[in-house]
Amino acid sequence: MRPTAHAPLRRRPRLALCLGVPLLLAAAGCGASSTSHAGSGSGTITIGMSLPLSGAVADNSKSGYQGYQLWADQLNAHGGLLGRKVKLVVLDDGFTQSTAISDYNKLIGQQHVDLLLGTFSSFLNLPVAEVAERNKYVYIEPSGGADSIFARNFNYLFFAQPATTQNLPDQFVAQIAALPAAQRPRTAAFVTQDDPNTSEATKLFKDQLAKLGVKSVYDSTYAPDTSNFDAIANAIKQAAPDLVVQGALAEDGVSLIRSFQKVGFTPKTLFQTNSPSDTSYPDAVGTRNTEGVLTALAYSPDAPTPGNGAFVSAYKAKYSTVPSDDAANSYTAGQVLAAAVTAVGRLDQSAIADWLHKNTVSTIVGPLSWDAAGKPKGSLLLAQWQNGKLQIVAPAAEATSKQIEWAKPGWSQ
Amino acid sequence: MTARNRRLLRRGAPALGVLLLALVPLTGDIYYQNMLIMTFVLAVLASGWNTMAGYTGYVSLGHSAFIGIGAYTAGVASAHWGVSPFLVAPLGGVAAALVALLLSVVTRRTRGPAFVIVTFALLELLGLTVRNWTSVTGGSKGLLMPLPTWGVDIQDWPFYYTLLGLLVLAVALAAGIARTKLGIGLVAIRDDEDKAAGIGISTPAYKSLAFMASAVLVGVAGAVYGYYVSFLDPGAMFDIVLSVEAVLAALMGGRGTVWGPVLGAFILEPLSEVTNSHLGGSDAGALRLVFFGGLLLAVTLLLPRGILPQAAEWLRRRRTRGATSPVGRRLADAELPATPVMRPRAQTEDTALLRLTGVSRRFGGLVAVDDCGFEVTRGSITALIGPNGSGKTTVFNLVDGTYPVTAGRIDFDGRRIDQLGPTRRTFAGIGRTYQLPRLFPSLTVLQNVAAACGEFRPGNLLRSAVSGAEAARATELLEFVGLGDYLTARATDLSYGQRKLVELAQVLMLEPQLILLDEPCAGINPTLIRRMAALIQALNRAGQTFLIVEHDMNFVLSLSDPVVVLSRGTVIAHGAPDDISADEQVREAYLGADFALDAATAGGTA
Repeated sequence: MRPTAHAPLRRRPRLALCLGVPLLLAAAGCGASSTSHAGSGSGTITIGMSLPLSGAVADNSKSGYQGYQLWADQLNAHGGLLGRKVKLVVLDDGFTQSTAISDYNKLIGQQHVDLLLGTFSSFLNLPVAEVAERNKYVYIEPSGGADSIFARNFNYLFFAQPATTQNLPDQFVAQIAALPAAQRPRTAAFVTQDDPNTSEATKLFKDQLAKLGVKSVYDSTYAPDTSNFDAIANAIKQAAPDLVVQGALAEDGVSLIRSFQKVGFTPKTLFQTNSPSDTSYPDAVGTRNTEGVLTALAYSPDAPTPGNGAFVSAYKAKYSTVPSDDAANSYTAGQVLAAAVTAVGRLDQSAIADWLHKNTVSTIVGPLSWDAAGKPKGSLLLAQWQNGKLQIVAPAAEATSKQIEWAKPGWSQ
Repeated sequence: MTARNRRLLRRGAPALGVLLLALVPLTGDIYYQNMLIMTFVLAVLASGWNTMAGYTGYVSLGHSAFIGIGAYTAGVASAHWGVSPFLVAPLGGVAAALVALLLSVVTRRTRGPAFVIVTFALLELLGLTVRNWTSVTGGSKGLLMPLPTWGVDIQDWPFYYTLLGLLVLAVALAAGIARTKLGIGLVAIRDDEDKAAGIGISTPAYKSLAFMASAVLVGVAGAVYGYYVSFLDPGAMFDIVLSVEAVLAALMGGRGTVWGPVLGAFILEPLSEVTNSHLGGSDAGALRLVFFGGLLLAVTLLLPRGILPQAAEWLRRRRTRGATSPVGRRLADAELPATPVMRPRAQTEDTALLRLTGVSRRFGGLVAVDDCGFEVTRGSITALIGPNGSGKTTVFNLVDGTYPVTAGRIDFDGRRIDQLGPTRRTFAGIGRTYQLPRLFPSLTVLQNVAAACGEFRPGNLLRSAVSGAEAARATELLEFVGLGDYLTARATDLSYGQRKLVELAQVLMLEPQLILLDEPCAGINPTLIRRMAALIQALNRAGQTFLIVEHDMNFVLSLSDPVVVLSRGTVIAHGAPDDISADEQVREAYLGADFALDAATAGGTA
């Protein structure tokens, strides 16, 4: 899962160049016919977006695109928006900032789309949100929860997840605080990938746990391309903490566990960001080794929130797979946009923004509401691997398992 | 097209282009504004790259580092002082220039592929530094730039016009450099760096200036670009892909030309926009891959020199079709023009201008020059003869500083010079020609001569090389050697003998006290040999000292006095030509027993 941003900000060369002018011109002609103008009273409503469909995060954004498509299909099947059909105008930015900026400028200035929806990752959303804001377009982003994006105090920006990185530790820390003092971990190790999302979250963990008397005995940051964690695992073993918190984005979560196995160290409690919700995680570390690992989720297909079950089964029917976070997040962004447009009753960007600032929208990730800067007011889910299944353990209202295991069993080889 | 029309086109077309570009924002279409903003950034970057790689021949793969440096400098400074990034953008340029200066110092002895690696490493290193210097740069979280303060109506005009202005400056800088002595010195470095050092081009200074010129505007553009993007991410700001795009733009438009990189950028960026948004939609990624690869392939195969040079070549061929090349015209024996006035130098008391004392040079186990000692008297034409492999050219290489001596000392004009580098020896007053003439193939005959510098004066670098005193002097010298009709010909279009004459003029441009001629008569026809001899004698009458290596014994013995005979790296005889030709040892080692001076040939020029 990606509670905040999309993926490691590693980039592959943008291959943004081309040949074959005649072909291009022909295609350009076709493209132009699909445009319509903002505020026009009839015809299709065009909704523009540029997604990183190629490049470094292409694999992940595909499901995000599918979430948008499913939302638009369902909307059209139920009569569309304001009685008009919606049409998605989708561009590909190759996970490049300058292309994303160009694309949104094009959507606004050339294609004159009626509405915008957001792209993925803070990396792209930071510059793009500025373009939307300057042009006074409502910009609902499915991901991109870095603090700096809300520091802008944008009026037209809304984050379509229940919470940001800032709230990532909330549920976990609350659970620790609820434990009797004697059962709380006394010492903790903090280790994180050098990435805006994970390092920020890991630091929050450290600060908040320190207030509960949990002593930090190890703290380090590793480069995104680190592949061998033996040295880190060994150093943590020497420090012998009760709790290990890892800001892990992807394979690094798996690699640290492998190194723990090698050096023979099992923490009593292990919390990892992002990695444990990867679909490949149980296979990579071995299902038995997942037991007791904690993580935070922005979304779970199992969460009993209104509409989630229907969304999951529709998604499965259409794409033959369980929806990822990104799929759910973009579907949520669509829900938010549709709710606001329907409530306002016209395509008035300022009125839509005002409405969203004042109201709560019911979505598949629960009720969403925002502060003045577009930051959501909810919190993330705390989840734990139990008996080979990732269970929601907090908050109680959305829990799928009532028990939290505080003593992690040793590794099996 | 007449010359006047061409000039009009050359001046009018850019002015018209700038005017049209200045009008684009008035249409109010933010999409085209954005596209052109990106194009300007790429064009400034490609133009900067061209100064370093196109003119100077130092290919950089890390040029976008200067974008990052400019952006981060302006970002940090603007946050620190709370001012607009526009105000501190020039600081970005200064920072980029300083890093470029550092790069030129670090890579003083690095050439070719090694230099490419260093520039790539620089890009990575700076990216890593920015990523890890969290307290200043925000590290991997990135750095927020202030938001634009102007109203929505003004759109992106401030970015647009600033970058357009920078592009105009970048082209003006590139065009200015190309006209100056600095510019042709840079091309000379690209063509043959060692030879360039030998004709008084202070290569480290030239390279430092070129690197700084190639970075400064890119730094400023980076600051503006960073402000436009509004958020600095280390990965995106120190991005190899942007570097590669700039390289591709410059290669496509024409490396080493003023307008080539700009043309390339104006083709590439809009084309990539077209694939991004019109052609591909959600499939753009895959199509981009195909187009990018195809374009690279097409440029490499079809336009190896770039669009502009190829087009110029095509036009030139069309224009000159039917006309015979002046190169092939027969050189007639003619009166020599008046000998050019040489700059008088302060003279020391020493009558020996050059003195070698116990000089040795070893290459591993091979002793090429062994305890060699002789003098060249002021005002003489001294000949250095000896069998092949006797070390004559090595002696030249030791005197001009191409090789360091293994032992011994070399004194020139009363001071020891064997510790000095080639350029310093050139400034001291030593000029040399090569056995195989080494002219700069990319330069015209006039530029080849005008590139030479007898002394280092920073002010000189900015002097025009195509007009003014430098060009006048070079023209005078070329007329003197009989090549006044070939000023604008490419050096490579000349015959072998003509190239030797150009090289002589090039050396004369240095106004040297001593001229080393390495086999001036080898491989040229008798008419040219006579002209060469006449030139040498005329110059000698004007006070010029020569040291000549030559195998044409009649030429040598009739022209020179004294003669130094070298065998196995050692002086075996020294004296007047008659004594030398009679010397038993010399006959045995070199001349052969039946050698007789051919009076007819020898006297042919007298």
